[in-house]
Amino acid sequence: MSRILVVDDDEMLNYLFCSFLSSRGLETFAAHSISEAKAALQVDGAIDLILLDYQLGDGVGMDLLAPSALASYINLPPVIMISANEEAEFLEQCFSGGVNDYIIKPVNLSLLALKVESLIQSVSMQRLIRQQNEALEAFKREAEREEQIAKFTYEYLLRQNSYAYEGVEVWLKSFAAFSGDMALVKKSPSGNLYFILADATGHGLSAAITIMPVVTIFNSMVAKGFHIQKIVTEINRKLVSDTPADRFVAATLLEINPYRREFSIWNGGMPPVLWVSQGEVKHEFHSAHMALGIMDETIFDAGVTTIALPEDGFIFSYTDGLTEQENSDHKPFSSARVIDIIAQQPDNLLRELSTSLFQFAGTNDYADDVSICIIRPELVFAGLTGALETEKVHGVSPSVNNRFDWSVKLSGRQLENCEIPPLCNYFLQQVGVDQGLCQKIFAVLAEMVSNALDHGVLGLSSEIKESSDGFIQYFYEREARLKTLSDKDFVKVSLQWLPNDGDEYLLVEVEDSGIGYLPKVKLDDVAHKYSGRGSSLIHKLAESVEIIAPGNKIRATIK
Amino acid sequence: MSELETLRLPSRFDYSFHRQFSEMYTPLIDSSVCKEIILDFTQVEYLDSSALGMMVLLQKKFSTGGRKVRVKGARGATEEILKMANMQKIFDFI
Repeated sequence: MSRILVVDDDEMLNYLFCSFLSSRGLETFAAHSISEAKAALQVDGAIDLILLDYQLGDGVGMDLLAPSALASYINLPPVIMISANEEAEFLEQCFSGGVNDYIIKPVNLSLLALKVESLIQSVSMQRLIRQQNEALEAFKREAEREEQIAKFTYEYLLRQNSYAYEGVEVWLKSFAAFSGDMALVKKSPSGNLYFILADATGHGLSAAITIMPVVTIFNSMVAKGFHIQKIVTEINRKLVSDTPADRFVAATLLEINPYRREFSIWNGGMPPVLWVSQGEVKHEFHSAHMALGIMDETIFDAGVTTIALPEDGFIFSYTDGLTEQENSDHKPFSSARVIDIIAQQPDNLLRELSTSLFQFAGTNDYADDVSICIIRPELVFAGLTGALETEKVHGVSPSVNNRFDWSVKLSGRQLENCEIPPLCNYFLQQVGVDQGLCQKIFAVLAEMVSNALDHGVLGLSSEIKESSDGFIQYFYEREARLKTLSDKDFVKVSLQWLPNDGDEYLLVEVEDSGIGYLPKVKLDDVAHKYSGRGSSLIHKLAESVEIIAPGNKIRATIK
Repeated sequence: MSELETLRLPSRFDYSFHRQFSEMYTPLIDSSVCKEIILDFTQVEYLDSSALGMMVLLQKKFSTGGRKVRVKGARGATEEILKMANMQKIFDFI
């Protein structure tokens, strides 16, 4: 209930005001002099309004509001002045002295009640606004603090990756402090280059949070040498279980193999990835899958498209923030415009696109995160192959002075599920083989196992059948054949480390259950040095390579 | 409530529709009568990724015991977006 202090030295009038206001449901207190009123304000902080008569026995009403007096009050409620004086100058003085409203004598009681109620209402509104503002400020400060911490963690994670690889260019403009878009590039131990462009639902912190598992899984699995089928399967599994059902991550993953001059692509929910040559879009890789984090493990489709790379051209990918950006007429930037700009073959395509987008939108504040990436395989290859071949082997740890033997044989459906090169790589690392040497071994082994599985066991032809637009699709045939494997089908890998008096080397043998994919060799020609195919990775990195009759067993020495 | 219920989506199908959408479909999920929901996209001119998320969430919640959610009337840019997201893998388009 609101409390009113009535200050009037006329006891009858004071009593009259008090009774009237009480009858309107207000609590009232009487003061009959300035000093009484002052005293009340010094001890009572809960007065909501003062009704103040101008003429008082010990002074005038304005004395109550003198600055010197104000200091001693707990707080100062709003004041309605009662006076017989209507002169403008007088009223001005009262208002500038801190009075909120006035009423002329003789007092119209109904009007007085209305003024009182209105003033109380307005003051309580102001108080509410002030409280809400304070609460809002505190909340904002807390949120900013948390955002700072989250941003630090998030950026730390990002810093672990860079896309400073030859032939890879990325332009990323995030909507808010956190980007729901993410581009990562990483090299695997085999020397393949992996690329992911991801776009999480929404943007800002909640989007960035769903991207984080994508980052950690991508990085750790690429480092172990897994292929993208396994990587997307795992990312999908994690997102399905760890993020809300209405959250998912659209993504494009690329695996570029410089030795076989191939790349594999998985596109789930993203705009088409373009292969561009001489300014022309030669091929579009459309989203063939749902985004990551939607499909249950049992129905998730990890199928990739594998393409042999033509001589010149580049891979172009982007997130929908680019094409959906609207101008002031609500028209979107559109993929048609992007293709036009590509056709102009500007010197710096990324800069041309970002400038166009800015001019089109008429602002730097885009509606969503925008990412554009260009990958030039020729430059990527130059960066990758060079590194692996010239990599200096720093020797091995002392524990590897003795020989070791290790072999694994996988049959039937095991071949579909388990990846042998990462398994071997893990073993070699555990046993203490130097990292540089591990990488070399991994690269050779990956090639050997891939040949053994694809050509030996699955019987897929190594000749690239070109379809009408010049690309091949291994995938469906390969997947279908993998499902028909039995125990009779196997791939066996043996590793033997031979110290050889300081001239140590690793003997790698890969055998498969196939019929052998080379011209038949006479049975008494057991060892046969294989020459030719100088561009083969195995030949580049291994000291020697032998094909054992009838061609389903290869032995390589690596130093 | 009948076995088949149609939900009309607004011309701007985005996060602002979140609450309303949930209010529209919750009684249908809880009901034992409703066997099929049709999402009517004829009015939809704009949808964003949160709309896709809402669709997926609805599908997950409703698709118990053979119940289905179907998509109707998606055209133009809307249809393109739904196709790019491969929504046809979990919804029948009619």
